[in-house]
Amino acid sequence: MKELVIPEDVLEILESPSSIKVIGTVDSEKNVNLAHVRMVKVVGKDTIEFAYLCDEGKAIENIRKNKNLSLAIFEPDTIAFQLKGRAKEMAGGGKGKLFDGGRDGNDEPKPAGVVSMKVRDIYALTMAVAGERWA
Amino acid sequence: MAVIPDGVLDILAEPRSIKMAGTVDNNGVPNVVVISTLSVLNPETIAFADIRLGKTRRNLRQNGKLTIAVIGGGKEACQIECRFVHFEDRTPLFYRWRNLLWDRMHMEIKGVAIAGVVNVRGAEL
Repeated sequence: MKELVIPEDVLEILESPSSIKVIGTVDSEKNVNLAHVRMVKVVGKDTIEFAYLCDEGKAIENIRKNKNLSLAIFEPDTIAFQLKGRAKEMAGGGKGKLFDGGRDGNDEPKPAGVVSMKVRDIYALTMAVAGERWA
Repeated sequence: MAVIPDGVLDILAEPRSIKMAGTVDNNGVPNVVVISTLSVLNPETIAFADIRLGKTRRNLRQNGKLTIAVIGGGKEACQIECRFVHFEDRTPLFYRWRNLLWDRMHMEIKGVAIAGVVNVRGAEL
């Protein structure tokens, strides 16, 4: 099986502050929870980290029980993708590469932790090519 | 059933708000897509067009689980948990949407998904 490498066009919008990112998780009753992701960092050729603000949120509770994740990213007026994969690990207390480089001094709320996600498939969501595998 | 509060209706009505639909397959794998045609039929019922829904359509038919995320221009986020009802085609609503979307976007629709609102909550991570 070919190893996935996140393509350049997806990398560009993943860390873009103007792109909208929403993570989908699922509970044991198969209810879908959608949460707005504010901070994402690419930490490997197929791995990203995203920050969460609350340890007790429904998304984090779901991830502890079901590792399947779907991250939709949308750069308004340009392009959108869906990244599917699994949570590899979760780290609280300021651990994870997302926290490296010093986040102190900005106005954003301090994250409670990060989730590391290994990406397995990427699909286009832009209308003309929606649903096509991108990587 | 629940009712979409006025504040969320206001965000949904913003032309620049982003709407996404989350579904799940029977193996518990989520699928999240951007929905550009989401509309509120009444405060208890939403609808969106099936233009190129693939996995979303299959998941809805499998188990009916649906959650809509709405992100406003000020990045305020909420989610609307829904129960999928059915896809409409060959109904007055379908023909009205088909003609409207063809005139505005030159896109052919296959159906209109109808869903009832179960609850509305925040979508902060």
